[in-house]
Amino acid sequence: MSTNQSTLSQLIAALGLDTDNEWPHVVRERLVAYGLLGLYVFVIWFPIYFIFITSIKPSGAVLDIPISFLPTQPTVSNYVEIFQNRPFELYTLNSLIVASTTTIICVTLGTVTGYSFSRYDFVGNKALLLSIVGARMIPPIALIVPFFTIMSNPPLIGGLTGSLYDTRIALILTYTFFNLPFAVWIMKNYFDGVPESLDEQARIDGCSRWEGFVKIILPMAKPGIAATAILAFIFSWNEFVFALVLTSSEQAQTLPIAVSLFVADDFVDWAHLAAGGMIAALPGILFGLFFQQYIVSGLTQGAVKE
Amino acid sequence: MSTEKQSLRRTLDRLFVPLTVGPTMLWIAAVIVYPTLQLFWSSVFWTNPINGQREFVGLRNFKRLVFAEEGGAFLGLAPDFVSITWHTVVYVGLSVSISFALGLGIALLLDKDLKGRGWFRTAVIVPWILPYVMSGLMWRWMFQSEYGAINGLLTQSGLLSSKIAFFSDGTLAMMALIIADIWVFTPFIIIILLAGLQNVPEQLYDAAEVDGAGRISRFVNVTYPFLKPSILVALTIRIIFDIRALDLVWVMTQGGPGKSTEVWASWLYRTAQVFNRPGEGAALGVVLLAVTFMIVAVLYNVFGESPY
Amino acid sequence: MAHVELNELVKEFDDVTAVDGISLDIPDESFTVLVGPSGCGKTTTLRLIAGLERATDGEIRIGDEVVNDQRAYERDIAMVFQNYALYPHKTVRENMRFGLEQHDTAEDIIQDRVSEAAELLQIEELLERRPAELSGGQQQRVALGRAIVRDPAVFLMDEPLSNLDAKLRVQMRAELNKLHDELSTTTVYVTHDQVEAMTLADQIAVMDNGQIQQVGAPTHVYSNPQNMFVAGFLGSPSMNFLEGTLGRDADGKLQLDFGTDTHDVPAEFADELEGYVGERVVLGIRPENISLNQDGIAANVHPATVQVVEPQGEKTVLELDLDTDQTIKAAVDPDTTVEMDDKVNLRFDRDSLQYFDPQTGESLTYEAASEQKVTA
Repeated sequence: MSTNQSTLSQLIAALGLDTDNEWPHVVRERLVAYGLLGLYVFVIWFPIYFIFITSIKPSGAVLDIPISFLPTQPTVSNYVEIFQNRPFELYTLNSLIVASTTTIICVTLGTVTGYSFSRYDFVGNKALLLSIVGARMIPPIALIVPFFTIMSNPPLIGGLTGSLYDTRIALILTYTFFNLPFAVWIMKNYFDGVPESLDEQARIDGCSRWEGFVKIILPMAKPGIAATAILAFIFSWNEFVFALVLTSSEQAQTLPIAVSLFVADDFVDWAHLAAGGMIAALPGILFGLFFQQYIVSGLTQGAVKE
Repeated sequence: MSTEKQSLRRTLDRLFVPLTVGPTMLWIAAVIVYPTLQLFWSSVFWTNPINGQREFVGLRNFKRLVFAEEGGAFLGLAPDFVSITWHTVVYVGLSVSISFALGLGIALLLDKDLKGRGWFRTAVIVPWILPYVMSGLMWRWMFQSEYGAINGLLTQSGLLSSKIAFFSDGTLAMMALIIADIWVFTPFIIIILLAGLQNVPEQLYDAAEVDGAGRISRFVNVTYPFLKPSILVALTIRIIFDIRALDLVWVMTQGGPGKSTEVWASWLYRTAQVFNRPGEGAALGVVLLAVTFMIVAVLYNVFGESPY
Repeated sequence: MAHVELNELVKEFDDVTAVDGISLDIPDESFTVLVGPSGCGKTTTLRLIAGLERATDGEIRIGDEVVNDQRAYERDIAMVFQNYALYPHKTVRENMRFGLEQHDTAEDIIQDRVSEAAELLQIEELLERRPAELSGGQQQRVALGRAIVRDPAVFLMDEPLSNLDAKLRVQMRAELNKLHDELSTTTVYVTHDQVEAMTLADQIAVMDNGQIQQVGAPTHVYSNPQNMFVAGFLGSPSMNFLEGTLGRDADGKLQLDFGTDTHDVPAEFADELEGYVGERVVLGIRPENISLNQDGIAANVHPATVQVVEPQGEKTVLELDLDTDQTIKAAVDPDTTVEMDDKVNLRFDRDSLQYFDPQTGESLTYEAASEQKVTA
């Protein structure tokens, strides 16, 4: 029985601004809300936009005054040059390897461990769970000294590997250390939401615990796994402090370090820095735009349910 | 199924928990226990920067850092300790409180039954996912004294006649740091609080409307009791993170100009790595650890009760 | 105290019309129940009266005043919610006081009203407790208390008993009845449970699809449904509907033909059904009005085979297959001895027959039936 067919009035109704159908004060509040939120989105994206156009301006134009907020002569020269002048492909490769490996380890162990924590009430369950939460509270930066010491002289396996300083393995180990508690926590909360009756049904149907887990439960956990994987990847890709402490050459240095190197001297090469930064930012932006719901659910599962 | 297979299966089943939990817990124990012990261990040694020799010095590292060598200064505390602690307090305090207020406001706005909440979350989550380092550099570029966007906007629109050199002044540099930090983290707070707002029962808002409660009264009586857990989580994570975060400070100001934006994180890094005094760096780490735990304890006390 | 009037009330959401032109008179001091299946619009109607939703069209009057533009707290109403909606961090006393405080009531009046209501509902010992410490039933009483202290013109109740267990629900129903006797406040009550509606209401309004299907006293609406929806909604087990073609028998009397069985239409309905000769007509008969033919009279009985026997304590419900392949339910004495596959003869109580038009669902015998009741 809709009386108005015009798209404008349909839009107004859909936004909840129809003054005939809603309380006037509610409509007013919504208008203000839309306005302020729009402003906020603009504030969020403006810096990103600015650095993006910086990256596509020819490097001399960046220093033009007055500063132009529109791309004047768009070019990809900056992107090309950073690969020529610095071993950017190495940095990118390092980031990829470190982040992917860390993600794989964290997802594998986190899923399996989170499942056990969720289903089984074994000795020390509570204590171990608390220690996982506690582990998150330790400020990583407080540990840069111990980690530096450990990686330079790995205990136990030092004889085999030698110093792990300036290696990708050191980063992988470090990042896994820091990410694993979070991964276990997220997956545990996630599995808590999968009804145990499914496990029981699998056992009745004749599966062992392992089979039941792999064949029945795991396929249901895909959203949780996606969230854990994305968060682990982003964390590893973005990490800076330990990469700074544990590496010193392009053998193992990752993109965040590479980008910070543009600032080494008095004169900062902003155009190229912007290009490098855009590359470093790419996974984050892509994940954020397309997989936002996984990130959000991973965060809120892992955080709010405490 | 043959009996050998059966007993193999049963053994594997019994091993399920130990095998799935064991490696992870060992790994985590390795992280918590070993490095933390290392931390305490390192903090009581002094390494001679010249010849690399270590000697046990007990609590001397702590004393040197915290207390003044000669008399004077602030209650007998080392001037560095005082000023850096003050900077950290200002930085963390302002950054967390402003981003929290902003995040709460926006989350409440979003809760008004608006369309496009998903779009908004997508649009707004990006700052938090960017490499922290890159956000720092981006804002350093924004605040750049000659070619930065902020100066460009201010002068080219006629609001100011001359550009501001943000990073040459201690207060302005701190302000730039805080603004950058707020930009990066407000989305995180919004997301956490938005999720928490879903826990507030709708009918309670109706009851408040019938009772005649105004906007503030509604927040205090209906929203806040159910939002407490989320507030706790958001604040805890934010404060802990800000105290320890090096990326932003190092890349934007490096603690400068001079030492006017030096915070605990940068001090620790500089002491340990740049000045090559791992003992003192470890001591700072121990103090940081202790402070973190204390803050979390306090927060849990204030916000930790359930709504009832 | 006041009466409530709804005139051509309409509420649209996006492209759904939740309330489609409702007009209802709610007399002063009455207990009116809006009942219907989920999605029928009863809760929306209640929220419109409360002021929690704004009407798209139409008029809402509380005590002769048009209140469409008044917000919820400006109207003289109090509401009881399905989930009780008590402020979790306030004590029972503070919960009860809150509305009065917001309306700037004098302190001595507040205190008097709170103690009176607490006494009425027997919750005096609970006044300093918090909602989390109370059971469901106790929380419900506090919710009632919060409404009572407001001393409003109208009580609005949104399925308040739905969250209580069965026994508690029966108990609270009786208490609500007593409360209404005591306070006489005009009450509008929403529920999907027809037993609740029947026991509590002075006036019942059956709703479906955003429209009122019928309004009236419960017993009247039960025995004299205006259409098949109302007839089928009230009563458990629900009314049986048998469809057949209307024709004439050898003597020219009206007869409903089910194929393998026929049903003689009683003479008193002849006028109303005349026009339907040759058409499909639906016969309605409630299970409790069907008996097993035990006195051997052969006329107007219907053979059937027993399929299911469900002893329910106070009655036994039989599900039977008529020879016409239609299924019918009958509610008989609990000591009736029948078994599955028994062949029995069913007799329909003549005074309880209803006839409906299968296309419109309208009752064909509405006026006639009520006239029957009045004269009989």
